[in-house]
Amino acid sequence: MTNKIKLENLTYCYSDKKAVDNITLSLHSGKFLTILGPSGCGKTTALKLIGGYLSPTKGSIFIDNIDITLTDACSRKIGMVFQNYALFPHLSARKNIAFPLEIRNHSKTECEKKIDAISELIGLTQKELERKPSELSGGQQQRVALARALVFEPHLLLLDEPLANLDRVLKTKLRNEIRRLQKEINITTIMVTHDHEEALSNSDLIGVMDQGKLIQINNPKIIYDNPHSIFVANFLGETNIVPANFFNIPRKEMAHIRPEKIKIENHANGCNWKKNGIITAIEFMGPDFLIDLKINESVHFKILTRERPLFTIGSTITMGIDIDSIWLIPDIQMELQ
Amino acid sequence: MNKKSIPYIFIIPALSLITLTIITPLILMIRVSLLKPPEGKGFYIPDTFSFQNYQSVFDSYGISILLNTIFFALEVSFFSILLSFGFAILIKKLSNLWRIICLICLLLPKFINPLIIVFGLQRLLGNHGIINDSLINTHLINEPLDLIRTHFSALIGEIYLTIPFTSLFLFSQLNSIDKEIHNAAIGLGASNYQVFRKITLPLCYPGIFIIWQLCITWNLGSFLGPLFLGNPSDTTISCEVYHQAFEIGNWPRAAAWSILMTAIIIAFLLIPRLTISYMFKENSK
Repeated sequence: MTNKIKLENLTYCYSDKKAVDNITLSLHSGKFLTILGPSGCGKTTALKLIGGYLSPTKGSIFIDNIDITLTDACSRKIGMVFQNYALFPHLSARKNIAFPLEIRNHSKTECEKKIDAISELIGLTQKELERKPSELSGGQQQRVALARALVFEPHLLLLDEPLANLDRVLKTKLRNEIRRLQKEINITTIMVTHDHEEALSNSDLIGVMDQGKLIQINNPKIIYDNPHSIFVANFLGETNIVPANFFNIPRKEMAHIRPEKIKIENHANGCNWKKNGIITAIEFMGPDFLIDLKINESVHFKILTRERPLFTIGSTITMGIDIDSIWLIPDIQMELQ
Repeated sequence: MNKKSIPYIFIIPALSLITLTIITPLILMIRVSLLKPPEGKGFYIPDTFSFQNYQSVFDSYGISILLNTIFFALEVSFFSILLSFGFAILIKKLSNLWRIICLICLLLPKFINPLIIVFGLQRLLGNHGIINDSLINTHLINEPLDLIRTHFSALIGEIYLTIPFTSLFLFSQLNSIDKEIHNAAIGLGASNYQVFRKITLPLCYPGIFIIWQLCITWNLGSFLGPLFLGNPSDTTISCEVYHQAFEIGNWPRAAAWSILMTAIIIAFLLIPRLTISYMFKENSK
């Protein structure tokens, strides 16, 4: 497989602050990369650099091994969906989607053909196509923005928090649809989000960013189970981080174990590490319960269990861990005190 | 107190003020315009009734003033909007500091009495004004150019008085367009010109229409420019009202002209609006 897009030492500074700090990555053709990070970590700036809306302070961007660092945004042929969709409010959905084609002087029949094809793929009806953006729902606006970004067959699709403004049900639905569409068209995609669930469910690769730096980039499973830093571990969901010597592992690193890997009561029987603790909180999460278990003054464990717990706050239970399922975080500098 | 009546109670102060300052004088003016013009002394003949003032307004001289006023107002609003659109685009592109400096420069003339501005322009454009003097001193011309007392100088004066408002309005209009929309258009492959032509300009149409209506309303009543800078032969209705009321002392004629001007302004405000809303109704069918 060939590299579709490659970033080399990409850096962007706002006055003296490095918004994007020396990012190097490459993405194979047809893959879905999610850049995950908290607000203000520079992920949107990175996306804007790729789109050509900002020019990098340092570093280069390659598409199909051609350096496009100095190419204008209008000639990069990259489709982008903005966070607020940025639909043209005075044009109907159809005219919005036609915009990139009209700019490229496609004939009318060709435009119609392409618009109809992409609308069918994305699930926009003819009736919706005639409406103005203000007359469409959030989900429909999202689809129009997606259709507009894809209709001119770009090299690359950029999605800037595309699901941030939608309600939860719609979010899940559109998330799956984006993924299906991406696979169907086989377009290389980079999405930016702060929602770890979105990142985990959709991507071939996840890159976690913090303070402008790309901390770790790998497939979702590795990012989730084997994080390179405490920051990454925490950002991908509830987790337990305790010094390794707590489990009698003679190492300096921090040990990391996800709440769903910890077993309790009878299930803990087969585990090779067991301890008793007092329940301090039980949180109902829908299908699961999140238990906060106090081992001693400084160590609490979060445990995710499917079974309805018979015990109440204050009761003592046994927890068990397979020592093999513990991951030692290699990042020593950020040790918890 | 009935809850429904509360909004009406809040209207009362504004309504009474408008009645007092606009409606009442208008009614009085209509009455005066229907009096007979004075013969020899006084400003009108009391307790008479005639339409003769309106008839005289529509003689050939009257019609020429009427057309001149409308043409002049259209001209001023066209050039004001054109120039201030350019200016608004320019200041939008500037850095914050320069933008503030430019906006202050734009508003500064509004702290000066318009009469003084017009006198200033008179000095600038006059036969011995700065422009003519410097051109003669550098031997580019031998005779002073006819800059003052022309249609051109009246236009300059009125545009000068109008442009701060139109620029500010169009600037805020341009600023209200989301920057991401501009970015989106660029990213989809549009050049700067195409973005302007297909996105920015159409998005400004509603704002341009509103500012055009304001411009037309102000400039149908242009007075200072045509009176102090313009050619006396192409006068406007306001100048004619001034001439009739304060120089000749024919109040009924002046009143008739004023009523006519009010009617024209109302027509200019209503007709485009009604046409547009009718067009939109047709479109949405």
